[in-house]
Amino acid sequence: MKASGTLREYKVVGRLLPSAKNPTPPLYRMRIFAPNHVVAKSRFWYFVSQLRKMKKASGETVYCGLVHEKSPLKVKNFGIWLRYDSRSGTHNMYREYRDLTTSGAVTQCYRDMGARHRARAHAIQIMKVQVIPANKCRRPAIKQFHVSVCSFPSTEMLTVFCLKMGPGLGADTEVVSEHVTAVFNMSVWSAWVRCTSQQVSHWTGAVTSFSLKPVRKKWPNSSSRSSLPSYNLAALTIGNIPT
Amino acid sequence: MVFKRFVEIGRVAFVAFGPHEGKLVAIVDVIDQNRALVDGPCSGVKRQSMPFKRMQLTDYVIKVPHSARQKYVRRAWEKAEINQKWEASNWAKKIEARKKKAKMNDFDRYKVMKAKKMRNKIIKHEMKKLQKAAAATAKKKFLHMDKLEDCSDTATLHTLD
Repeated sequence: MKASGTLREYKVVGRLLPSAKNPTPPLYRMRIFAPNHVVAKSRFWYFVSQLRKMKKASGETVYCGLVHEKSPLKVKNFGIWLRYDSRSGTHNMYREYRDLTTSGAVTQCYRDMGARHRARAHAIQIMKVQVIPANKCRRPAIKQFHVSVCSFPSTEMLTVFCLKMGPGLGADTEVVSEHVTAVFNMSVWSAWVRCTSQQVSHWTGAVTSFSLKPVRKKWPNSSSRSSLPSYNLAALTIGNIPT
Repeated sequence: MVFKRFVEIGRVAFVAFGPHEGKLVAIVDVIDQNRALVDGPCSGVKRQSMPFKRMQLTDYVIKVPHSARQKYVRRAWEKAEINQKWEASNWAKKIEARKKKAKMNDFDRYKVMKAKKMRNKIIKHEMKKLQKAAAATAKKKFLHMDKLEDCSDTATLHTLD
C-alpha cells in the first residue's frame, strides 16, 4: 500500500461465497485504514487471507464503507499497536499519537514509522487503534500535553503580513523581521490631502507647535567659544493638522 | 522576560497565511507540538486544527477552559472586546495602512507626492527660520565676547608703555 495523503478509515465486511458444505458462511469485519475504498478492499483480503482460510477468489465483499470520525473537534490520545518489517526482522510496536481523528493519528503513525525506522507502508500492519484516556498514556511526549495549564512560547519568526492585493504589487516579498520601518499613516495623509486643496497661506499660521531644542555642542579645540547650535532633526514635530 | 507572549489556552492569535489569513483566532486546545485546536467564532473561522507556524501570537488572552465549546469562546471573546481592542491596536492599523498603500492608484500616488512635498516645504521653511534666529543670537554673543578680549589687550598695552 502507498499511504498517500491522509488515510481514511473504512469498515469492510466480507465472507466466503456460500457453498453446499457451507451455506451460510460467517461474516468478517475489519477496520482498514487506506487512501481509498479500492485499496481498502484489497487490504481487507490481504489481512483476511493471513488470518482465515479465505481469499478474494472464493469470497465476496459484503460491505465497504467510510467511517466518519465521531468527534472531529475533540483532541484525543490514540494508542496504536502495529507490526512492521525492519531490514533484519519483524517487530511489534506500541505507539501513541495525539490527534483529532483516528485516521489522522494512523496517518501520523505511517509518517512517523517512515521517518524513525525507514519502514515503508507496505511493511506496516496496523493491528489495533484505540482512544486512550490521559491517565493510561505511556509516552512522555504525549503526557507533556496533559497539563491543565499548558503554555509555552512560540519561537516563530514573524513575517510582515503582506496581503495579496493584486498582480505585480510585490506581495510575494516578505520581510522577515519585526523591525520594519514605519509605513505611511494613511489617515495623516488623507488629512494632508484635504488641506492641499486649500490655500497655502492657511498653513503658515497653523504650524505653531514646532519643538526644536538647540543642542550646544562643545568643539574639542575652542572651549571658550560657543559654536552654532546643531539641531536635533529627529525632534521635529508638526502640530495638529487642520482638517 | 525573554518571551512575553505564550501559546496558552485562550491566547488570541493572528493567522498570517493560509486559507484564513488576516483573521484572529483563539487557541482552545493544544493538540501537539505543532498544532493547536483553534476557534474564531467572532472572526468567521470554524473550529479546526491549525499549525503554530501559521499563527502569530497577539497580546490578548481570553478566559476559557480548555476545549470549551464555541458558544463559550464567543462569549469570552465578546466580553473581552477583542475585536475592538484589535482595531485600535497599532498592529491592525499598520495592516490597514499597508492595504491602502497597495490599493493606491496613480492619482493617489500623485496626491501623496504633493502632500509630502508640501509638508517638507513647511518643515524646511520653519527650520531655516529657527536656524537663522539661532545664528543671529550666536553671532551676537560671539561679537560680545570678542569685544571683551579687545579690552583686555589694550589694558596690557597700556601697562607695557
